[in-house]
Amino acid sequence: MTTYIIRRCLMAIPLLFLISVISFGIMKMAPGDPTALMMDPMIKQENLEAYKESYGLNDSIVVQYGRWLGNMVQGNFGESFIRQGVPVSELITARLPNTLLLMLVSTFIAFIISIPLGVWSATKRNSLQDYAITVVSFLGVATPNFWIGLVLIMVLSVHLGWFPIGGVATYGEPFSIWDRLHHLVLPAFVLATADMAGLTRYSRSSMLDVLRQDYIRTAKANGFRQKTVIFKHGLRNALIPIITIFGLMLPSFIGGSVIIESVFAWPGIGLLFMEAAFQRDYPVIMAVVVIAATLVVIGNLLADILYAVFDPRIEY
Amino acid sequence: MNAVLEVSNLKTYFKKNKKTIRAVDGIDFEIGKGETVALVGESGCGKSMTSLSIMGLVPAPAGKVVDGSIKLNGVDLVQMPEKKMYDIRGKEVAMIFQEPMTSLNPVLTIGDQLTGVIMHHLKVNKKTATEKAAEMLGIVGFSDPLKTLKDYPHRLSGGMRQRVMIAMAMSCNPKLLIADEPTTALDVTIQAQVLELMKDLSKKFSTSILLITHDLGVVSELAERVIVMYAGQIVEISDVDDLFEEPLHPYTEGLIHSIPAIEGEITRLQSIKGNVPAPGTVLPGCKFAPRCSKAFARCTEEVPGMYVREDGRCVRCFLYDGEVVE
Repeated sequence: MTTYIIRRCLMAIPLLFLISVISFGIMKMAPGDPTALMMDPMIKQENLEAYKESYGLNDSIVVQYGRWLGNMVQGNFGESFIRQGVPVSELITARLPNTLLLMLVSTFIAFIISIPLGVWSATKRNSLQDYAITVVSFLGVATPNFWIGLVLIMVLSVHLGWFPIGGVATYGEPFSIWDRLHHLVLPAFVLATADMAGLTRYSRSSMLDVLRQDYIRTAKANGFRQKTVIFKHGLRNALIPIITIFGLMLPSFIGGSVIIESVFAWPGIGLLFMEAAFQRDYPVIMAVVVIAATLVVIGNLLADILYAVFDPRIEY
Repeated sequence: MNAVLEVSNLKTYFKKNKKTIRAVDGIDFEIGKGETVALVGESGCGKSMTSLSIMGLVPAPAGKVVDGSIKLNGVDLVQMPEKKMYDIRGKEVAMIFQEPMTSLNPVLTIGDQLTGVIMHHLKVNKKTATEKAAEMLGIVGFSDPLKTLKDYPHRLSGGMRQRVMIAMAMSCNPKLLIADEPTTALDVTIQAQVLELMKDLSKKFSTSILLITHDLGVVSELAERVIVMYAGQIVEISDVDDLFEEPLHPYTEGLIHSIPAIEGEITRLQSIKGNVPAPGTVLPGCKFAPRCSKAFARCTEEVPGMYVREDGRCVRCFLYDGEVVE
C-alpha cells in the first residue's frame, strides 16, 4: 500500500509538469497582458516597453516559462503583477482554507443527500417517489448552478433575509462559528447541486444493479429483512462504483467553485483565479492552476485508496 | 409417510404486458421426512418458480402465487404474512443456488455471512454463532475453519463456495433444503464431492431435499423419487429406479433417451424434436402433444388428467387411461 502511494505520487510529477506547460501556453495565447490594465492608457510607448521589459514580458515564452518553473520548484510562486509587491503564496494561503472548507462541506452535502435519495429511489423502483426524484434530478442536471445560486440569493437572502448575501463572515463582527456556518450554508449547498443530481442517478442505478445480484437473493433466502438486505448486504457493494464518481467530482467542484465563489463573493482561490484571469495576473493564475491540479491528483489518489477500503477484492 | 412438504394445486402466474403467463400451473406433490425428491424438466418448465414459490420469493409485483397451498409441516406458507416468512426462510426452509461464484456477498467475510444467518435465526450471541459457523465449515470439509471464517469469498474456488453455501443453508438445521441446480456450475469431480456431501448431510440431519435439476445423472445419484415437469405441469411422478427402467410419459422417455449410453451400440443421440411451447400459449389438449411421437387425436382435443397406476406411479398421459385406478 505504502509503495503504491509513493509510486502514484511520483507519477503525479510529470503529470503536473504537463498541466503547467499547457496552462502556461493557453494563458499566454490570450490577448493582452498585465500592463494593459495596470497602466495609464495615455502612457508613452517607450515607457510601456520599459515596464514590459522590467517584468520580463518581452522575453520568449520558453524563457518566461523556464523562469517561472525554476522559481516554482523552489517553492517561490513569485509576486502578483497587479497587487504590486504582494507574494502570490501569501494570497493563496489567505484564501485556500476558504475554498477547501467550501469544497469539503459541499462534498459532504452532496453525498449525504444524494446517496440516500438514490438508494430510496432504487428500492421503490417505478413508484411515484422514484419518478419524482428522477424528474428533479434531470432538472438539476439541466440547471446551471450559478443560476440556482442567484435565485436562492434573491429569494432567501434578499426577500426573506434568512441568509447573508455573500462573504465568509459578517464584516466587523468578532469570529463566531455560527456566523461562519450561516454564511457557508448557501454557497456550499449551491456548489453541491452541481453534482447532486448526477450522484443521485448513479446511486440509484448502482443500487438497482446490486439488488439484482445473486448474493442479494441469498440474503433474502436466508430470511433477512428488507432493511438488512439493503443496508448490510447491498449498500457497501453499491458504494464501490460511487467512489469513481467521487474522484471525478473533485475537478468539477474546483471548476464550480470559480463560478460559485464569484456569485457569493466568497474569498477563496476560485474568486482569486477569476480576478487574476481578467487582469492577466500571470503568477497568480499559474499558482492557482498548479494548486487545483494537485488537488485533483490527490482526490484521485484518495478515490483509489477508498476502493481498497471498500472492496476486499482490491489490494495494492 | 408423514410429509414435511405438501404442495397442492399450486399456481404461480406472471403478468407481462397484460398477458398472463402460467409459470406453475396447478401442481401437487409431497416430500416425506428425510426424503430426497428431484424436480426435473427443461429450462422454463417452471421448476425454479416452484422453488421460489415455496420460499415466498416469487419476484413481485409481476409474479404471484394465485392459487393452491404449500404446507410445511401442516402450516400453509402461501397464507403466511411476510413478517413470519422471515423466520421460515433460512431456518425451516433453506436454499442453495446454481451459481456459487456469485451467491456469496463479495464484501463480507465468510464468517460475517455465516454468523449473520445463525444469529438471526438461532438468537445466539456472536461467540456462539462463530463456534457454530466453524463447526459447520468443519462438517462440510474445510480443514481450517477458523481461517476460512476470516476469508472473503473471492479467495475460495467454486466448489469451496458451494460448500460454504451448503454450510450456511444447513446451519439452522432446516426441515427442507431446496437445491436449485447445485452442481451445474461446478466441474465433474467437484460435482461428485458436493453431491456426496449433500447425501451425507441429509442423512445426518434427516433433512428433506428438493433437488431441482435438468441433469438426470445428478438425479440418479441423489434422488429417491422424481417429479417430471413440463410447461408448468407435472407429467410424471415415479421412484427413481422405476423411472430410469421404464419411463411412462413419452416426455420422460425422450429425456432419458437423450442421455448418451456408455454401454451398447453407438447410435445417433436422440433428442425431443421441437421446443417447449412459448410461455403464455394455451393449447386445447396435452401441452406435450405437438412434440409427442405417440400423440393421437384425443391428445390435441382434451387435457389429460393425472392417472395413478396400481404401483403408485402417476402420469399425465392418455396412453395410461386404461390403467387408471383413481
